[in-house]
Amino acid sequence: MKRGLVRPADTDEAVAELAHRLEQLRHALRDRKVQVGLLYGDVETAQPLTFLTNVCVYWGHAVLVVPVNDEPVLLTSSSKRVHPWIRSSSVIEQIHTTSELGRTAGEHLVAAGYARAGIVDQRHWPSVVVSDLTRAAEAVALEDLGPLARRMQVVPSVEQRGGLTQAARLCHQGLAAFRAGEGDTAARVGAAEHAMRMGGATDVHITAHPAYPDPPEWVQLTCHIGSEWSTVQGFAAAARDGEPAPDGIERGFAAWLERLTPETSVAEAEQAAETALAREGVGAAGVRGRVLAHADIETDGVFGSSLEPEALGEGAVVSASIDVRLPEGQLIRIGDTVSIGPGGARGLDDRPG
Amino acid sequence: MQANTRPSEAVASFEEGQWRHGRIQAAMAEQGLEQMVLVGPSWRRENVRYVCGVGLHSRLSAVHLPSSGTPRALLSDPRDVDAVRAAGWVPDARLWSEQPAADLAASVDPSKGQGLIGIAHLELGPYGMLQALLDASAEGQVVSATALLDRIRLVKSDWEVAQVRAAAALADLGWQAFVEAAHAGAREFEVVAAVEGALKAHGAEDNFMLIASGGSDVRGMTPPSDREIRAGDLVRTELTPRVNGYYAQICRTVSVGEPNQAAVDTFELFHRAMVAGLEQVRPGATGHDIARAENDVFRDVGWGQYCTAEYTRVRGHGYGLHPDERPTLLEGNEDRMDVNTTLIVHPNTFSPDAGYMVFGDAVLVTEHGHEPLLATDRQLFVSQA
Repeated sequence: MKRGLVRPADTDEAVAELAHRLEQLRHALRDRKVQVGLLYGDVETAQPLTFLTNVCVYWGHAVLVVPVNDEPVLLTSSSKRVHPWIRSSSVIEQIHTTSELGRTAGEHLVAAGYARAGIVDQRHWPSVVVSDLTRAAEAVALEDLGPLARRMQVVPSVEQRGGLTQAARLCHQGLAAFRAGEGDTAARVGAAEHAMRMGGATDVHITAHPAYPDPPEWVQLTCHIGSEWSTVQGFAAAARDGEPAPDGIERGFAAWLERLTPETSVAEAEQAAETALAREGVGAAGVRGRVLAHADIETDGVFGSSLEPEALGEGAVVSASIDVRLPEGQLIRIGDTVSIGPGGARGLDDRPG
Repeated sequence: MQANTRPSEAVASFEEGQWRHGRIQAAMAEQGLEQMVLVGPSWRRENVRYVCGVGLHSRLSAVHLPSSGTPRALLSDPRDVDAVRAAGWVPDARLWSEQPAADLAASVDPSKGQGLIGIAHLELGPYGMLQALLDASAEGQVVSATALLDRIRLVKSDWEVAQVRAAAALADLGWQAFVEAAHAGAREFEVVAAVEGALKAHGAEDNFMLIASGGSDVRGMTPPSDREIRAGDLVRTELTPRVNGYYAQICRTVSVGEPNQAAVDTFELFHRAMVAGLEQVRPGATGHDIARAENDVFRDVGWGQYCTAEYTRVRGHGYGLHPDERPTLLEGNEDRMDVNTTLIVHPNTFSPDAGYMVFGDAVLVTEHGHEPLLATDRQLFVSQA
């Protein structure tokens, strides 16, 4: 849950960046021939709303209405008491509290006189909210626009890449703190959590997976700062000589990253993981490579990928991970958030992934 | 009303799972439901966890529970498939295909009969998971089972109560960390970092937490900013750690340095309101009864307006697998307490003299009243100025 630092969009640079993002979305909406776009977010999955407006949905859920020729409006289940905080921390001025998001959104469309509206990421919206919206705006033609707002972000702007890099650094700092920590697993999670939150994370998720005699424990750390998400999965202890399993997996992972070039298709990228691990002699019952756009990390891609399947694209920032199902049945995941370039994928602060 | 006698252990037993499934199936029979679907969008996974018995990483999950036959879990994370199968409560656990809506519609298959299908969290089920099932169902065949599951989960097993107790112990620990961290010069997010680090180090899986620092201008709590805490501030929090899936909450306020008289007097009023609310907590009491008792204390001093939605949300609430669940403590709410209901009574609201004041205690409903779950003193705390 979002209980870490929320930075307000209170600098000229931040406001200009958000204005640019909103204008990009409006341009895409015009291309789709709709007069207004509607975006949905809840307390755990609201990345596009934050990306566009810096609104932090920390409780309940919300709909963002973005007209192509007017200012955005936020419909939220949070109470009116929170409106001043939302205004002070975002670029949103118009806010309405409602317990019926769909009906209120539909009535808003009708009152504004829109004839064509686009629902961004309809798969993510609650079915009931969509049906309430449809019922309240019978005269409005509604179209599912798919991952329009996520797809805009596949290759991040300089500003967004800065936020992603910061989030990635915090993940690696957290991993280092976990590895260096003393005491039991919980104590080490606590050390990592503290380090990441002191670094300014808006939220942190850390999962340590049980230590087996063989293979060793692995840990997943996810961090988001504002709308920027990064995740890393690694062994709980750094690889050492004489521990062939993690060493082989890590070498295989590094070799796989070199294969993730701009021209590589998503399917090719994911299939290449098995080959890379096999070359390192990693025995596995199954290998699953996965490439996920950074804007899909918060949903784990369950509402569809925002990557174009034909090619990863230069400058795309993705979570690249490999699931290794060992012959004994245990699952190990290793991964990083990386940037795609001609020489393969590299870590966001330009270290190898 | 009788407390059940489920065993307490760190991992919920297979029998605990059978007990839960049995309660749901009994309620389904009462309501005439042939099939039950529990849907778990990422922010509301509690019902899926309730019937699977394990924590979930899946951002999209559902369990299909027929009135007879084998339940099926549909999950988006392979780690959960392993864990759910291992727990054994829902042995048929599998990953979604690329088309979750088609998977769920095929599993439930409303065309097989005209029996009613209850869906818990129908109101929040994502279009990409639920719509094909809704489209395939006859008019009126699908009904919301959200309230039904809320009522079932309102009464905890003894195993569940043991987890809530563990979470409450961490809430006490988290509050100690909060008071130590909320000193002059610290920033709000650093206080939260200290609390989160301490909670996680002692085994919390998660924590829901809000904070507000400042004077009489503070109107409510939010996530932290980088505001620097100053001498004379009141720093408020509700923090809600989770252990083995179960949350428990504490609400307190700390004064940075000695509090002024307005803060002391305001705290005393809130203390009276909380005690008045707690005195109503017993089996059979309603959310209305408790909220009215709290609000009457404010009304008696002419502050009734601060008990309205303009200034506050609720006067307390239940918790368990979600940090804010039934019973809801509001005037007009008829949620009824039972033995092994867990709730917090918190008269949190704005006050003109001290700003937003936060004070509340977590309790367990017992046969003859209630049992406090927190060990933290009921006082206005003071931290280093």
